[in-house]
Amino acid sequence: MKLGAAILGLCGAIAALVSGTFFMFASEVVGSIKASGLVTADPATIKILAMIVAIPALLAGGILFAYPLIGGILFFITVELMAFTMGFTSVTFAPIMLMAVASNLAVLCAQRERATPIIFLGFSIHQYLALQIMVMLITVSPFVLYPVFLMKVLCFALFACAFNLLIGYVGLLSFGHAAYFGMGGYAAGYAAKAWGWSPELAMLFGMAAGGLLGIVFGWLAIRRQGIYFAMITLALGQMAYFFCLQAPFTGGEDGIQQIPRGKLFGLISLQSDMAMYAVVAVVFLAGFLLIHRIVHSPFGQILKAIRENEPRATSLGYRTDSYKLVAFIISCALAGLAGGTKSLVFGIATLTDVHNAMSGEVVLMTLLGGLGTIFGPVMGALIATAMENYLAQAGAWVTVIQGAIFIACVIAFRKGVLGVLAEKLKIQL
Amino acid sequence: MFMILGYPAPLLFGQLLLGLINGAFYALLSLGLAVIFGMLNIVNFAHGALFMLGAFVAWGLLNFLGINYWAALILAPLIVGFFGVILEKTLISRLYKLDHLYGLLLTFGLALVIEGLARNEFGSSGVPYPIPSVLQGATNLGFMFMPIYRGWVVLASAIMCLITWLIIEKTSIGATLRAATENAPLVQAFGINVPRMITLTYAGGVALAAFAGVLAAPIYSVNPNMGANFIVTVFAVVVIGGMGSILGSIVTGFGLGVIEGLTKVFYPQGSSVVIFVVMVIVLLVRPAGLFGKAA
Repeated sequence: MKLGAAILGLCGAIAALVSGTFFMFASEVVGSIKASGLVTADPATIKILAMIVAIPALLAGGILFAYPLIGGILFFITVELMAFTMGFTSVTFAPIMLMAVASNLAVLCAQRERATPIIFLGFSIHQYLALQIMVMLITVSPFVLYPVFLMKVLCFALFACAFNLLIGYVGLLSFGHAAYFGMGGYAAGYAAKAWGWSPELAMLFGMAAGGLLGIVFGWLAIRRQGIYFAMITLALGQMAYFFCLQAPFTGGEDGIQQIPRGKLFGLISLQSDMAMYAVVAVVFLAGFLLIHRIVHSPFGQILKAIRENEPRATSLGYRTDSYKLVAFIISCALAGLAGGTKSLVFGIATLTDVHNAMSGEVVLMTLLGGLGTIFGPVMGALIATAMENYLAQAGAWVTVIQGAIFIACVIAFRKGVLGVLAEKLKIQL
Repeated sequence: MFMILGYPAPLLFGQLLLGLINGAFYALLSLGLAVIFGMLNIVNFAHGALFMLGAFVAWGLLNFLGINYWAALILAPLIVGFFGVILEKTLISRLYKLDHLYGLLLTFGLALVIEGLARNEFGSSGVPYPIPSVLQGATNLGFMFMPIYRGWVVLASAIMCLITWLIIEKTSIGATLRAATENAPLVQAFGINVPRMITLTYAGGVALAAFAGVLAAPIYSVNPNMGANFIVTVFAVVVIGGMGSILGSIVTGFGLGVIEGLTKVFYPQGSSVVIFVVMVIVLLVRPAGLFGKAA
């Protein structure tokens, strides 16, 4: 443990040093980035991104001394973002990567010296490593794969994580989650297009729309349990669909088209896919960490108690309905955020996103990845979106394959991809 | 032409009839759902797909084997019921020990597969099914012209609902069924083959859906989406009525169809959501459903 802390401390100090330098010589760095030619954003964008990155890096350096694990996480994310903004030709990347590896080894060492698992903010060491892999993949992948596809995956991943908060941790199957996703999309799209709101405000507006709808629908649906809850949410979702079909602001069959991506905080243009990708990645990670934090809070423990045995939770004095409602609203708000982000990415908000088929898809993603696992929905979203993209010319066969996956998952594969993997490795993911 | 509440009577009665027809389908489908749920504890999401399958089987019987409507009305439910037996034996029976939600997910997957396959085969627009010659044309009822086939649909489904109700409430098979719904192990202890009964219940519920599908075939074009359009509304109907009561399902189904039809006259924009609005009101006033027991 002491060794680990020492190494981490060292890493923190170096990180602080590096990022401090980064901060001070931002203009030079910007020059080198431009020269590298990998990032096509305009210099002002890069400069601001560099500053945004450098400040938390400094903080991370400080936190590393005090809290190895959380410091490590922050540090790693910072490193990834730095690498992301700077491109891979930058010479600073190699030492930073080395430090990241060192910090991992340090925490692994610390874990070996202790009999009890190190858990900080609910992340066990294995989850922490998985988180790093995920963050790393998120960072590296836009240089390898088509960023727009990845943004779609991230939006769906956030949507699936939000859905998983309900089914995985409260045991509520909401079969109409597309309503909140789609409504968030319409709200964000309308705010960005008709009112000219900046993208971050539009996304937050989408989140609020999802949450508000969640308050109303959740308040109605939690009156019934189990299978009825699923049917009620499904019916309410259908109602939302018909509403969107006729409401004046949604554009009916055409949807809202040509939604501008706008400028982040009114400063940074998101016109380039890479700039938009950075925003989507941050939104996704923020949502992901928030969900994780919620699940591992005392509130989350009560949710799990309700999932396991609702009457007992009631008899222990918890108002289970209130807990369920709050969880429902959070989930809907995050689904709205995901929908809002998606509509900004694609510049379009249509009925597809409110349709029941979308509700089915998010269930599929979560089930496929693993109900009640932290990373499962992300994995499921990746698989499902990739499948849809690469099988697009197969037409209706996609539906058949989706159905077959549903059947296979329910019959033989109830833990999902990551659930099975975690079981094989005897760890929690 | 006389007027009722400022609306021409033929319009009003025409929509009322359309409402009754939709209500007939709601009743048949929600009845099947209720019977299956009572016995298997599974909400059969594939119900809409099997309704659609019933229509396609009737179409296939007519076009490939030359079997007419009347025979299809009996054969198609039997064929789809047999298909239901296979589904229950191979897939659904594996889920009884699990959470109800898995049953919903499995049957949802089944619905996707069946509808996807139908869409591959027939495209989204579907195929036409002719009205049998005896039931073609319309008759003047004095206050409106009624297409004979539409009247027949309402009549046939009402009779079918009545028969189902009689079987379940008044025969010894029905009594065993109700007993097994209440307490399956006890009924099994009396020497009744409960697993077989469960299979047949599923087949029966599914056959009801297929029967509705054959009835619907000449009205709507036989298309892969006809079930998906219905099933969500039927779920709302089931939530409103509560799944506890057979008669409740029938009454709620017909009643909501009529309400939907009337909404088309008085407030056309609201007709697609009126059933959901009723569901919301029922949830607020009587969360257990109109005929349901408090869960």
